Amino acid sequence: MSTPAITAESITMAYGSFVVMNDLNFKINPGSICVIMGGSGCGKSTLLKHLIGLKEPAAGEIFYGKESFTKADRETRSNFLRKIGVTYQSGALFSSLTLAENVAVPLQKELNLKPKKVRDIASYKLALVGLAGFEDFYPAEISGGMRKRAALARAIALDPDLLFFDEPSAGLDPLSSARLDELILQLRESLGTTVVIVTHELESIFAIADHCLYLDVDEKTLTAQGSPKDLVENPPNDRVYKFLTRNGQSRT
Amino acid sequence: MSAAGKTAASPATADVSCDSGTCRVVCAGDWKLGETPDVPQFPHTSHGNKITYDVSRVTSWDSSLAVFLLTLAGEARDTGAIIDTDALPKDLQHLLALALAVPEKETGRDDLPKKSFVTRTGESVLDFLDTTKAAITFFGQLMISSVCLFRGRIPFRMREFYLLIQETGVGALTIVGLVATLTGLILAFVGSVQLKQFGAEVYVADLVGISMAREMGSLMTAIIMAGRSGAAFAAHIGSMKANEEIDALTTLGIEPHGHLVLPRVIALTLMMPLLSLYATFLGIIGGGVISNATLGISWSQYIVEMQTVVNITEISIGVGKAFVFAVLVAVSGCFSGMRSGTDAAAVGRATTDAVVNSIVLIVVADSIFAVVFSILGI
Ligand SMILES: Nc1ncnc2c1ncn2[C@@H]1O[C@H](COP(=O)(O)OP(=O)(O)OP(=O)(O)O)[C@@H](O)[C@H]1O
Ligand SMILES: [Mg+2]
Repeated sequence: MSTPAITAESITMAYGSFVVMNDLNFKINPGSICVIMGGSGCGKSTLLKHLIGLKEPAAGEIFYGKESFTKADRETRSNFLRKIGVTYQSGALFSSLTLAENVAVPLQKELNLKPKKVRDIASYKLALVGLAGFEDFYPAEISGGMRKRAALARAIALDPDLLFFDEPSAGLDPLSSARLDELILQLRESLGTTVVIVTHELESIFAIADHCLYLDVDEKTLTAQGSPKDLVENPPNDRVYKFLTRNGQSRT
Repeated sequence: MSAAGKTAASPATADVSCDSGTCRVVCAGDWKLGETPDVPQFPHTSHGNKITYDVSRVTSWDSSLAVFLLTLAGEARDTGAIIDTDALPKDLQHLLALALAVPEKETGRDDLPKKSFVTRTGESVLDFLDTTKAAITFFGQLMISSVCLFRGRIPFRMREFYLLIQETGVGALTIVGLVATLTGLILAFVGSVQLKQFGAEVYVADLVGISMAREMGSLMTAIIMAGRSGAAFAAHIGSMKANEEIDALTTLGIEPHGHLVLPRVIALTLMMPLLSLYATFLGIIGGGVISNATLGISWSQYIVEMQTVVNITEISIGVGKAFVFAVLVAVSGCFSGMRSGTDAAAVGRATTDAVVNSIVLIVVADSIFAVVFSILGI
C-alpha cells in the first residue's frame, strides 16, 4: 500500500490545561476523502488546525507523507503548506479585498503571472463555486453561504494536493451543498486531491466520504473510524451509530 | 397546605411537606417567568429520601416551572434523594428529560471565582511576565521580518502602504494641527502671565520655542497618534484575527508580521517625525499669535528671539523622539491586535490596551530621554 498522505500518531490536543482530545491515531490515504465528524464542540476545528500547523500538538506527531510535519523546520513546513488549501469555519476572507483579489492572493504569491491571467484564473475558480459575476464584490457585500463558497474558491486557487475544509456546507442550501459535494468529487477525480472535511451533513458524508473519523466528546478520543457504510453496518460503538443515523431515526 | 390553588389567577406557590422518608412538593397557581417563589429548603432530606411532585393545581405554567423543578432536582441530587417525576404532566416530563439529557461538562471553569488573593496576585505576575516575553518575541520577529523585507524576501504591497501613509499621515493633519496650535497658545498664555511680572515678556518666544521643539511637538503628536493610529491598528488586526484571517494568511504562507505589522510600523515611523515637525511649527505660530496680541511683541521680535534658542539640535531632538514614539505606538498597537482574543469584546480590550500601553510607554520613554539628555548636557 502507498504511503498515507497524512499520519497522526498519538496526538493530544489541549488549550492550556484543558485537554480537548487524547491519543488520536489515524492515517489518511492519498486521493481519499476523509470526513472528521463528531458532536459540536468536540474538537474538530481544533484537529484541523493541528493538521495544518496553526496549533502544535501537546503530544504526538503528525506526518505528511513520510516526513514529520510537527518536527519540521519553518522552511520545510512552508513547502508543505504550499501544497494545501484550507477553508475556515468562518470563511476568513480578507475583508479589505474583493472576491477576485482574495482568490488572487495565493496565485500572486506563488506564481509569476500577468494581472490579466491572475484575474482569469480567479474568475474561473469563482465560477466553479457558483459565484460568477461576483468578482468585484467585497466579502461584506455577500451572504454567509456565498462567503463560504468564495473561501472555497480561494482554497482551490492553486490546485492543491491536499484540501482541508471546515464545515464547507454549513449555511448552504441543499442544492449548493450538493453542488459542493460534486465539486469535491470532481477535484479528486481530475487532480487526485486528498480531501479532509469537517462536516455534520449526513447526506454529504454518505455521498462522498471514503473514510470517517468519529471524535467522541465524552471519551475525548477517536472512538470509530472506517467507511460510513461499515460504520453503520458494524458500528464499533453505539454513539457513532446514533450519530450516523440521527439517533437511530432514519436511513437503512 | 396553605392558600394553594383556590382561584384560577392565583400567584405561584410551592410547598414542601415531609413525612417518613417521602417529601411531597406541591405546586399551585399561575407559574410565570419573573413571578416564581424561591426554591424551598428541604427539612430533612437525607440519602434515600423520595421526592414526589404534585402539580395538579397549577393552572398555567411556562419555563419558570421547569426551571424550578430543575433547581429542586439539582438540590435533591446533592443530598442523595430520589426524584419521582411520574406525577408530572407528559410535556413537562419531556422538557426535563431534554434538559437533563446532556450531563454537565467538566470544563474546569467552575472553580474560577474561588481563587485566593495570593493565587490571583501570582497569576497576574505570571501573566505580566508572559506578556513581556511575548512582546520581546514579537519585536524580535519584527526585526527578522524587516531584514527579510530589505533583502527582498517579502513582497511589499505598495498600494496598501500608500493607503496606510495616507491614513496615518495626511489623515491626522487637521487634528494634530489643531492640538499643536492650541498647545502653543496655552504655553504662551501661561508663560506671559509669569514673565510679565519680571518684565521679561520677550522670553515667551524662548519658552514656546524650546517646549514645542523639544517636548510638546513630539509628545502631543505621539499621544494623538496613539489614540488614532495605534487604536486603529489594534482594532484592524484584532478583527482580522477574530475572523480567522490571520490563520488564513499563515497557511497561505504569508507571514502576518511582514504583511500586516511591518507596513504599519514603517508608515507610522515615516509619518510621525514629519507630523511632529509640523506640530512644532504650528505651536510656535500659536505662541506668536498670543505674544502679539497680549504682550505686544512684534512678529519680527518673536522670530529673532526664537532663533537664539531653537537650533538644529533642539529640532533634531524632537524629531528623534517622534521617531522612537512612532515605533512604540505602532508596535504596541499591532502587538495588542495580534494578541487579541477572537470575539468582539476581546477586540475592544485589545484596542484599549493598545492606547493605554502606548501612552504609558511614550511617557516612560520621554522621561528616560529627559534624564539621558540632562546627563549628556544637551
Ligand atoms: N481558543 C480557545 N481557547 C480555549 N478553548 C477553546 C478555544 N477554541 C476552542 N476551545 C475549546 O475546544 C473545544 C473544541 O473546539 P472546536 O472549535 O475544535 O470544536 P468543533 O468540534 O469544531 O465544534 P463545532 O462543530 O461547533 O465547530 C471546545 O470545547 C472549546 O470550548
Ligand atoms: Mg468547528
